[in-house]
Amino acid sequence: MKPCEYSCRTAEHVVSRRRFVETLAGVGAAAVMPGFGMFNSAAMAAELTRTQKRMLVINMAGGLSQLESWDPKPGTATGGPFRAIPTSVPGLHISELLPKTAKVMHHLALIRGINTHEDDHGKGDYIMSTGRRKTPAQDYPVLGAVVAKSLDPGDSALPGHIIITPGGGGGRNADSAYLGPKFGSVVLGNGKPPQFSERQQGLAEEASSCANDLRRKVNDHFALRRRTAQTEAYTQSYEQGLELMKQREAFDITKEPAGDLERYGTHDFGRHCLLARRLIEKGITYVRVTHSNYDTHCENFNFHFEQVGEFDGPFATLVTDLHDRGLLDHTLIVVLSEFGRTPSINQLYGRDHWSKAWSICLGGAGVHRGAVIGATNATGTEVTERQVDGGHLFHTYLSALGIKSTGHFTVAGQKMPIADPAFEPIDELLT
Amino acid sequence: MRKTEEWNLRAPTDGLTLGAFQGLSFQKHTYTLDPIFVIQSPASTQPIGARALAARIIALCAISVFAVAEMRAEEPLHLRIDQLLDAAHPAGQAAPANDADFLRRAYLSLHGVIPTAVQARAFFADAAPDKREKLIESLIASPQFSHWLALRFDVMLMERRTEKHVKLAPWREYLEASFAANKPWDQLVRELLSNDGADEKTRALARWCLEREGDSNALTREVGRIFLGRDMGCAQCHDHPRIDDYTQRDYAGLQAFFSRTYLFQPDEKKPAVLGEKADGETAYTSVFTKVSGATKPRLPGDAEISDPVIPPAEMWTVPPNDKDKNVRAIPKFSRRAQLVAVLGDGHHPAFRRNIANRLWSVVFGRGLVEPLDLDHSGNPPSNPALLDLLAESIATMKFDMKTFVRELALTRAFQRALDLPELPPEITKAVSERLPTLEQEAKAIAEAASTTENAFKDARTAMLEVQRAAEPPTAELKKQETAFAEAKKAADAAQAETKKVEDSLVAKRDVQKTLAEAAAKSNEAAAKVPEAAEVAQAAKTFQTKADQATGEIAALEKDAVAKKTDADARAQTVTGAQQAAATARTTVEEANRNIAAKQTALEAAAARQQAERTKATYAARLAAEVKAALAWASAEAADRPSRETASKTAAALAVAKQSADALGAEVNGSPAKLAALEAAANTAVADVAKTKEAMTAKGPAATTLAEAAAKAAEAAAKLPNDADIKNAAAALKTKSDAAAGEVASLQKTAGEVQAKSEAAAKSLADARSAAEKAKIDLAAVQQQMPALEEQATTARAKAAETATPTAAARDALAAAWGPSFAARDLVPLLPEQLCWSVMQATGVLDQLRAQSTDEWDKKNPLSDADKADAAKQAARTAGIEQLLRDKIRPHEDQYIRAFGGAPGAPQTDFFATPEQALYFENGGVLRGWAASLAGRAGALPDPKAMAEELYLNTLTRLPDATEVTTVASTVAARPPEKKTEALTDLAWALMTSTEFRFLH
Repeated sequence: MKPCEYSCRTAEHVVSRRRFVETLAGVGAAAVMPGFGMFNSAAMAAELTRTQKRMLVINMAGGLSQLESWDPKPGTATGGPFRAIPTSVPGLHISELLPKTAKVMHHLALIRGINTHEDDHGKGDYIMSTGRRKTPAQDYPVLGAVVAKSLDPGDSALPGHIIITPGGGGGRNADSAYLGPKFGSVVLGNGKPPQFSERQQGLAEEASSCANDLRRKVNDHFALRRRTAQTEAYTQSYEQGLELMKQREAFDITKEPAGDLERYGTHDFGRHCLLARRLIEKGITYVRVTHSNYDTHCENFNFHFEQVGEFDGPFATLVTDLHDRGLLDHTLIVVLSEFGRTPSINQLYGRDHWSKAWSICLGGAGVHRGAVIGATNATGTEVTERQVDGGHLFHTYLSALGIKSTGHFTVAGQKMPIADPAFEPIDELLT
Repeated sequence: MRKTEEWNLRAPTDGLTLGAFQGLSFQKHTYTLDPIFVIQSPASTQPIGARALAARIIALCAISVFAVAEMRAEEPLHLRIDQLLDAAHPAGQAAPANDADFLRRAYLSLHGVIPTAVQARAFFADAAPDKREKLIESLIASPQFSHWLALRFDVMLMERRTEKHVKLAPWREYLEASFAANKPWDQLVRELLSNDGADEKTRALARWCLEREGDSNALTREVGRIFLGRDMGCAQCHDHPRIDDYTQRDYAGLQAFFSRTYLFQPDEKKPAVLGEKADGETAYTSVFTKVSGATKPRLPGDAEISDPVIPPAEMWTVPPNDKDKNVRAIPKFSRRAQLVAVLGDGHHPAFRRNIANRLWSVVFGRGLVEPLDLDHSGNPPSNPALLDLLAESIATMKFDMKTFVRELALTRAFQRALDLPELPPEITKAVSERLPTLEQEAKAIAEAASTTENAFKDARTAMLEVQRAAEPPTAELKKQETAFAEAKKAADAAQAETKKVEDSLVAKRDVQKTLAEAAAKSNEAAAKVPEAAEVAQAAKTFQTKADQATGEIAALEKDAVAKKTDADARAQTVTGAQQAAATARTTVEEANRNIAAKQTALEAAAARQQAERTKATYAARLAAEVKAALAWASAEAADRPSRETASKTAAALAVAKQSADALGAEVNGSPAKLAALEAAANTAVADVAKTKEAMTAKGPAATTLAEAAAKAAEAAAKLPNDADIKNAAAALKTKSDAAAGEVASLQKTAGEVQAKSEAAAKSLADARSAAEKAKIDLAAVQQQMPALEEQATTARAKAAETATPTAAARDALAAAWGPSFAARDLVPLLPEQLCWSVMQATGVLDQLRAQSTDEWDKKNPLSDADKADAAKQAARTAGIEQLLRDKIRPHEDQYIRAFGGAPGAPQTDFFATPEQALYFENGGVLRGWAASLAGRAGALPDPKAMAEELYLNTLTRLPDATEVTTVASTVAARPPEKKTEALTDLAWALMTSTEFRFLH
């Protein structure tokens, strides 16, 4: 088959198109017009990718028990059956369910005085995702959208906000509120690449390329009548889509060395952590991996024994790998939940929803290694030192990434504070 | 001036005021009617010719650039709209759109879907001058119009919220029925806001409130946004920081309608309904100024609505039931019902403006105010007088939306082309002469606006001062009232104490008296019966008790006096406290009167500021628009010569190339040609020689024969009777004649060949000189060629250079003209429009309709008698339509997921993501459908017919020559068996193009 008799992709054409876009005023043009391939030196691009800040969240969905993880209270009425073990940070003990993590604690830090005042899954998740309480009048962008927007390198065809879940998947989520769909999360259900990023079965590449050349030709013809930021954004979205197809390998963990999968574990969470590492290395600004389900109203100890056990290995490997590759200095890792679990143990050996005194683990980027912020009393029923809320955490994450958390986004001329102005970062945790 | 009848815009006496927004300053000036200023309203809806319009505008420019329109109430609204727009665009407007653009636009705007190729062909072929009006009438008369409008309003009202409390199906049915019946907007709003969801039959209507969780702040913001065009969300906690027009007081007034409303759902398994409390007041404190206020329900700018005084015992229709949590209490007086009344009576200016603006945006793709929910003086309509007219008109029409939309669609404004016109020099000249004045006026108005702005700020400061000044006296009053209450309480207590002591004193005295009497009698008895020791003992006891009581009485008396003194003192304090409280109250009342006065002043200042700011924004926009038009005209004028030069030089180059080619061919062909001519000349020379030779051979014999014949004839004459001689002479004569004839013939031939030879020689000579000339000419042309080529290249580069600023100037003017409706703006299709149009273009819609018809007819066969029954036929049509919609819905949902906004977020925001592109690229559905269109096109005989089929079906227009060539070459580039694949690529490309994605 002969190729189409024209091409719209000459260097000259691309340049003039971009120049036109630059002259378009307004947020719209800037927001919808990421270019790509602008780096003329591969080395320069690689360096920028290496030092660019990014964030990796592990969401312990359902509510991880702080007592069976970061804030054990062995030998007390509330402590449960598990012991505490020493870690690589002198004097710091965590649950014996995390032996491998204990060895990498010198890369990490703990916040043990969290009180989010919200025991509902949805609302708790909202606080941890947005740093704000849910109100019917105004919806706020989630952390991933805020980070993707704030750290947007502007030159990537890959989405900046990715969620890896055990199931589900599909298009782009509407969780970016006023930041617009560009920063909405793209869900990789069971770690599969984005929907429709694979060439349609039976469609020859030549046919697609011919059809796209024809599309460009029809567009160029229409552009002689009218050209706007919106028409440019629309035509560019196809180029981005095609570019995403080319970079689809970024989502393919079979391209990683064979031994790595063994190190991470062949179960879902292991594969997802390996995929997260790959995506972080590719310069994706925000990746969230879901580990589910910690909502242990009954048999809390058996479930945590299994679940935390599954989490421990891949997580420690991930921390080590990012450190070894020099990425930990630029990557903030956070292990969070929507809340913790009750110190009291119910009749079914379960622990219930508990937002009054719980913990998260974090590290990398601008976080002090080995730090412990806040404390609870001997039985874990009260915060006794440095109590913080979801708003403080949200400010802290952003600050650790070098984002001015007291700044604002300008949306349609209106200033929207990036984080809830009623809170501030936990400064002592930050380098 | 708010009455429609008074809408006569005329020139002010000074002739200089900005006529286009005189509506705003109507009350302040006296206007006189001067016919010179009047643009006559066109007799028909036919577009005014550009030149005619120019002439009118120039006539106006001579006096004031701002054209002034006279409008008469009896004129149809669409004419009055056009008059206002004509007047607001001194530099002109885009020409009417061509048939193809108009047809596509009318279908997409009024039916939400592109026309079919059949409909397009019929419309293009129709020669009737009024075919556009007829099309609009027929589109509006179709059920698809109300279906489309119902959908637009569903999206607008619910913003694609999911079905949490109320099912979608009955809600959609309700909207469909409402729009099919052309229910007026005010009635629709009343129905939506008054329904509490308790009645299962009408529960769907409560969706608007219930899906907002019955939350008073959510409902307040949403009523502001969707019914008043004012997003006052930020004013919940303080006056809007950027928008002076949106105050916390207004927000709280609106919120007070909903503050008692809540979501009632004691049992999660049962549906939620709206509940309302019987009491609860709205107070607010600014988080900025810390100043507090309280308000009754009130629409912005209206008076507060007081609650009726109802005794607490009669507050409930259904009282709260502590024993049964499933009982929903119903108050006698509902504040939400008050909102239904005051919003639903359609009196409020913002209510009118909002619906007028929203319907305008349905027809024109964007509102006069954008965003639709940010109507305020800092963001005024692109044409303030026009929105005023529309708001009044829709109220006069009793909120009849169909009639209103019809008027909008009949305007010339609706027909404006996307392409910008060349501005005639006479217009640009007139307008550019006027521009400095325009800018000056804009500057003056901006200054005036800034004065009112300062006055407003001062008034706000003054207000804040009196509010702050009122704080100490208010606190003092509170303190005094507390002190009074405390003193009163203490005085009352002391009074009670006094009374208690006095009472016990009375009782004690009574006891003492009795005891004393008993003692006396006992003593008496003891004296009489001395031997009875027990009597004496009793008497003694009585005496002791009586004495004791006397002592107690003394103590009580003392206490009573002390208590009384204390009570009197406390009563004194109460009087003092009462006086102090009264004094404090007077001070507070004074302060409150101050606040009220300042509030009035503030509102007046705000109104002035808003009016002036609207004017200033408009004036600045007008000046900027004129400037943009002039920039476009000059860029276009600069571009034109270079374009012309480019095409001239290109033509010259083509001519030269052509002649070089011809000359080259001539020069190349000349050797052969000359050789042939030379050969012919040689032949001719040979022929001459041959003839001459023959003559030489035959001539002497003939002469001899002639002499012999002459001699013989002489002899025969002398001997007439000699027969032999006679015969011999005759024979000689014959011979001689023959020879003579032969010679004569030879002589003739000789002449001929000679001539031929001469001609051949000449031809040869000519050809030789022509060949020489061609050689010279060719050399000359070849010498010229590089220069011509360079000229053409330079001119082409120059043209490309000037084309860039021209395109920039074009886009800049389009950006100014689009929002003010002087030219058509590009509008992205809504997900449903995109989905339906793809289905229409590919023929899928027709297929599904046919399927639906079959299904219906199979299930509900009509007898011949039924077929004559109009009601049964109508039921069949509706049934088929319903089946069709059910089949379309899953596809719609996919498009909504890909192209729609998030649930609860504004749905008109445009965004383009790679996921959308990949859905079209790899989703499979679009290519599959495109193949269906390609199959139909491929069945046609030639590429031109194929191209026409593709373009008419997808883009509602015929392809131009280049596009036909592209189709032909794309098809030709593939082997015959891949023809459909090539056409599929083409169909896919057309449907993923910007021309398809945007309404234009």
